[in-house]
Amino acid sequence: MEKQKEDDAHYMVMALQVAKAALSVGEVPVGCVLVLKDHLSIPGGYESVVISHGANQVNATRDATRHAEIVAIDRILTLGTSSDQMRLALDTGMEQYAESSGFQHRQARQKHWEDRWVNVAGNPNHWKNQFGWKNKTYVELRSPEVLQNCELYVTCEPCIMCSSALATVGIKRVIFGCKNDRFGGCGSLLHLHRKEESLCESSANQSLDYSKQSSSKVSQGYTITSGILENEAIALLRSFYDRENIYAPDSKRKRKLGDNEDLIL
Amino acid sequence: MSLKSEETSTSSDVFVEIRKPQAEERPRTVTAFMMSIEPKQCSKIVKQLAQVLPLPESLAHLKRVRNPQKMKKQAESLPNNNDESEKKKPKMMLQVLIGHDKSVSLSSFLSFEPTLEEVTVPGRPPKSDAEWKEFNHIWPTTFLPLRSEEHHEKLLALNPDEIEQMTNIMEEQVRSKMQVVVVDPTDGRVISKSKDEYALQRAVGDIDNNPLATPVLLALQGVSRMERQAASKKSKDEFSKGQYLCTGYDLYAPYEPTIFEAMSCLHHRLRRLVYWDGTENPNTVWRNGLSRHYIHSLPGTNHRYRSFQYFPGSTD
Ligand SMILES: [Zn+2]
Repeated sequence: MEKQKEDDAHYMVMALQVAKAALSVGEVPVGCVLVLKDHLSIPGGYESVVISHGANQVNATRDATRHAEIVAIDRILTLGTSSDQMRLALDTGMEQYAESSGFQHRQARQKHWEDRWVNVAGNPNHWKNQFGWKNKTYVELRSPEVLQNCELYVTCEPCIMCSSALATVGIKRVIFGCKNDRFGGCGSLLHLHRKEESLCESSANQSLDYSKQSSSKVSQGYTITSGILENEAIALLRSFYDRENIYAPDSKRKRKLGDNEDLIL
Repeated sequence: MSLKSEETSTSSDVFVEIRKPQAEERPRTVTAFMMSIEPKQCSKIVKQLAQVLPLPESLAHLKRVRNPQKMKKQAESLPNNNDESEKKKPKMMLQVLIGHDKSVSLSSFLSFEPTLEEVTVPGRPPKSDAEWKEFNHIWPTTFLPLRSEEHHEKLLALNPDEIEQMTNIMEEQVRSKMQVVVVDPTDGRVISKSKDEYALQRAVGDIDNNPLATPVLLALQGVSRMERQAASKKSKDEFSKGQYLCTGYDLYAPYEPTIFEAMSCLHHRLRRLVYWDGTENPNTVWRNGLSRHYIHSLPGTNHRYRSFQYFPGSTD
């Protein structure tokens, strides 16, 4: 029990580190690490190893689905085919971000962007520092089934998209820092970490033929732990949104207000 | 437009809109309490009530004061029978709506002890002009035509041009090629195709190894690819003029998206999603993201989109 608490704090610190790196290049600071624990495929006597990590890449890829969790999964399974490999050059990405937010991109350029995105610098327990890109062990770790033995540490509660993605890959456990009131899928808006009720159990529906799906897969769910280093995660997010608000031009602020008004109607 | 649409349907027969069943419809009438006051006191008391005891949200569509004589006249709709009543005219009183709670204390600002009477009032805002007239016979009601359900439904109805465009795309791009496409509805141009994006990503990595690289996601990523090209100044199109993700665009799929895919579309600011339920992927979880989980119309999220199921058989 104590051991797990220690572990949770240890890996959450790493997730926060990844989130901070995202902040420095103008992304929403949410970060995660994907940890394989107590598994036969871990070499060298390690109890656990970080097999992937990710931070938001929404600005860099112009893809609103590239959240930290999705990026981490894409990295381990495809070497970042739909994330790292799709990123705009930092200059391009930051130029536009700088225009809209007043953020100094020169500053960010000095932050070793390339390395930060594929490595948790200075962490000997990270697979890349341990095994390198081309190592045989790494190739074995790339099977989607390995994710079923993984735990994901993420600074903020996964949104509905990510919560269902984590159910899709059959993750074992998810540990998060702060809650996600607007989009959270692990308890806030929906409970996608729970075992999914099979479709054939629901009442017969005249327009949709659920019977054809009776043999198909349902999510077995995953355990969640929340509130690990919660204040740190909140502080990080706040530092991002405060900056956004200071630099947002008037028209943009008004538009945001307008969106909310739509919802009230 | 001479559309003979049924009043409550926003769908055509071919494209059926996926809408979350309404929670509980609010009752047509409810009981509340009112008190009678003399006309000369009216404006002062109404002002004070607005301060101390505003009407609750559930009665916000009602006016505060009713003139029972006027109501009676309206009900009888006989213009010339006031001769007689003028003679033995009782003391004219106005009725003021208090709310649902009978036990409120009004003594702090009233110089008299009021008697609260039960009264039946409309329980919700009128849905149409006709209903408004009916409601006014029960208790004076406020009607905002532009916010009414009737007006809302009219705005939502698909027009024949839209139906034609939707049918063409479904048949020519989706059903015949079994792919997901993103379309600009202003001119019907296909912006992105899942099969093209699949080929582009397949060329650089092993995307077959990622169960999250589904056709819906790939089609969204095709749009992102164009936005990136514009950002790095490789193209001159709407994306260089500020097109943002799938804002204003429609996505067409040969299968119903999962929760994962449906929420991805929400993040991508999609305008509409149209699907044909003709294929299934037995290896995904949390399916029926729209028809079962209504991800496109979640309360509280910053964006919503409309979604339709296509029934190709119903054309003839
Ligand atoms: Zn997410």
